Amino acid sequence: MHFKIDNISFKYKNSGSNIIDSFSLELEKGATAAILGGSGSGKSTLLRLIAGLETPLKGNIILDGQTLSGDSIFVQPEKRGVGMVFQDYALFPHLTVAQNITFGLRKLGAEHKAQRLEEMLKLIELEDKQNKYPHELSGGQQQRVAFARAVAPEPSLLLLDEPFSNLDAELKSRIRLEFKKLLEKLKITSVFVTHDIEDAISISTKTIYLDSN
Amino acid sequence: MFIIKGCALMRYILNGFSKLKYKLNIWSLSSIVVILILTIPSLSVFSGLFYPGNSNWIHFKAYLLSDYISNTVILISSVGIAAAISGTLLAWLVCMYDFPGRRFFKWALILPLSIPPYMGAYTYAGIFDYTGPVQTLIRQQTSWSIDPRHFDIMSIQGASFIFTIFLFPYVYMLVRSFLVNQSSSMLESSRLLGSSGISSFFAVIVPLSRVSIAGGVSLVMLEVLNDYGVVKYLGIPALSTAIFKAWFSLGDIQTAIKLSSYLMLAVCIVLILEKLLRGRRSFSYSSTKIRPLNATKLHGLHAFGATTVCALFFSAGFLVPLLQLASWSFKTYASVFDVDLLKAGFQSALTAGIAALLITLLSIIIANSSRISKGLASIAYSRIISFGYSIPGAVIAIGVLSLFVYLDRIIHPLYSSINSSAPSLLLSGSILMLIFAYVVRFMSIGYNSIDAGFEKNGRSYYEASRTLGMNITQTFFKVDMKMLKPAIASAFILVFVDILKELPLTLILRPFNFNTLSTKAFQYANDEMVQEASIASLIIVLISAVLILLLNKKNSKGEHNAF
Repeated sequence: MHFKIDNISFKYKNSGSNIIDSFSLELEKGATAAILGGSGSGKSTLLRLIAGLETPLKGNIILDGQTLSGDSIFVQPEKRGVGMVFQDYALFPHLTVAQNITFGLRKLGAEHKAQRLEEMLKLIELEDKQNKYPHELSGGQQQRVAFARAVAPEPSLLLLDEPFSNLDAELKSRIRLEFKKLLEKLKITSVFVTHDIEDAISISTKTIYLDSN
Repeated sequence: MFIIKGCALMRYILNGFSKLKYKLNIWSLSSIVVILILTIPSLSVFSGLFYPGNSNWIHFKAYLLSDYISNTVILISSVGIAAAISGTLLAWLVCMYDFPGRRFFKWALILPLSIPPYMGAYTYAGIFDYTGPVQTLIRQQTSWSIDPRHFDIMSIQGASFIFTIFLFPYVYMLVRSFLVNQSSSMLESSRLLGSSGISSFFAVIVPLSRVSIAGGVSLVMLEVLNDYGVVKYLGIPALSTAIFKAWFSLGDIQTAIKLSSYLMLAVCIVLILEKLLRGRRSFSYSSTKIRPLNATKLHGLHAFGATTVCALFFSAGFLVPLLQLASWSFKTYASVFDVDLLKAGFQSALTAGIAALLITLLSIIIANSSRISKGLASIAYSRIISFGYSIPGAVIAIGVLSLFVYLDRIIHPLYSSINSSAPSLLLSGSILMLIFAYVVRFMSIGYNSIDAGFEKNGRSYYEASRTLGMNITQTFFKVDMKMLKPAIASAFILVFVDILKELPLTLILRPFNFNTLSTKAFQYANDEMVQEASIASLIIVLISAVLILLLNKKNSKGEHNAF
């Protein structure tokens, strides 16, 4: 199994009960899982646990045979090889599109970096915008840049937090299709959370429901 | 059985350690160390409450202490009340009514804060002096022979007056920014219900802004407790002057610590009172549909009255002292403006610059680690740091002094084995001690600014960078610091100016023969050369006035366009 979550639980410091209670999930390489749930169901928290932005109370997270999180093991987020597209994109406002996309590529040489940037820009069809700053782009464009930034370092797993929530309805159905194609093209294993069942049906190969407790 | 339990315990402990390992990093470790070091001086002063005093202390306690305490209490309560009334009244006028000059007074009424009260005291003493402009004018223009005692500023009433006119802006600013963010409907409904003008002031404004008034008054009271320059110059025996007496006249640090612990107690009482007044009600009715207050236009006598009140406070708190300082500077610059003054200016800038730089750096480290760890630690950090600013400068100075003398006693044998002619007070005679004390006292000003900057940027940029392969430190340099630039700049400037104005702490801890602009002004004034004190004062006042205006402009961009 490429990616495995085993019996994981999590509780926020100020809350009485576990927001995630003994959750498990297994994914084949290249599969896309959709986590579906209402607000407060802990679906974003699940992504944060996988990314290493929160520490689970118990349980294991295993990616590519390596334990990321378990008893007495905790791999820091920057060492996990997990990419994430944030709900608000979190594009660095002080960097251009090109600098944002190459942000995670510091280990590559200049030549490889330029090559990877070119590939990414082509993938998201924003070749002419590479010197723009994030605030100069439309919402849909910003989202594509955030996607390119997350996949540029070739993560073993891609996480997407409500990737379509900031887009209007018309744009949404088009971008959803584009996304599906991108994920298939890159053959990347991914987990995304959404509250919209249509998102789940049209993109994922596997759908998991999280109810609020 | 025991072995099994022991094994389980071991595993539990090891598990705990490994969990700790990923919580600890270079940022959180250095924050803990810095916070601990910063709290040592105040703890050593607090401990003074508990150990027995020596014969000096018995003398102080028997004959002088009650005077010091009663004067201090009279000062903080009278100034507190006067500043509460004047600050609230002015904020109410400026927010609710339209009258000639309102747009100007809106920001100009903050300017008195740029004049350190001790410099204000020298200025007013000169103005009301027998040979000063007021008495001279009256003598020349009229045939009245007035009793000079009516103009005696060297009294507790005089001190209250000085403190009030230079400190009321704390209350004014807080109440004003509170009123600006209120929905007009609340005030309009009070008008519709039949209370208008003065009665709505007492029925609605005062109870509504209670929290802001309490916040402003506690700042004013803490400034009064911190003061040494005013009470010393006006000859009022108070707790802060007693600390100086114990240290400089008697060289008795134990008694100084004892007195400091009493002053610290007063600070705690003020802080507790503020908490109580604030109560559970934290007013923040930020209804989403805020309509800015509609100012009522005043006509005739009312308009004249409002303008006059504002003009009086502005003139007394800023214009008159500024003009007086300028005219004295003009008169004395030939004799005062010399190498000594330049040297003092340079030393001021140097110490303030180093301390401000240190504070900014440490604030960044602590704010970054408290943001990463979230939770209790960050709350504890900011509480501990902001407490430092409530502690009077003289108290911090005594705490730092006793710490450094103690360190010197430890270091001296080590040092003298290398260099036999080494001075016995290596650290406690050095500028290092002064800078350390500045850091303890002004840390919270820098920290608040940096912390607000982090708050504004949020966490998601940091998290995005972590998932893109950067660790905490790389993230800090590549992302956080770039976005934090404005907050860093304002932290540095705010701290720099506050240190320029600082007096009591500098007086106690400066190295021998080391002068700053503020100690220079103090020295001239206390050598009965008030006019000669003016140039050093004027430089400080002008720098702070410019800064206050700049910051006010920046802050008011965030306010609603209510004016």
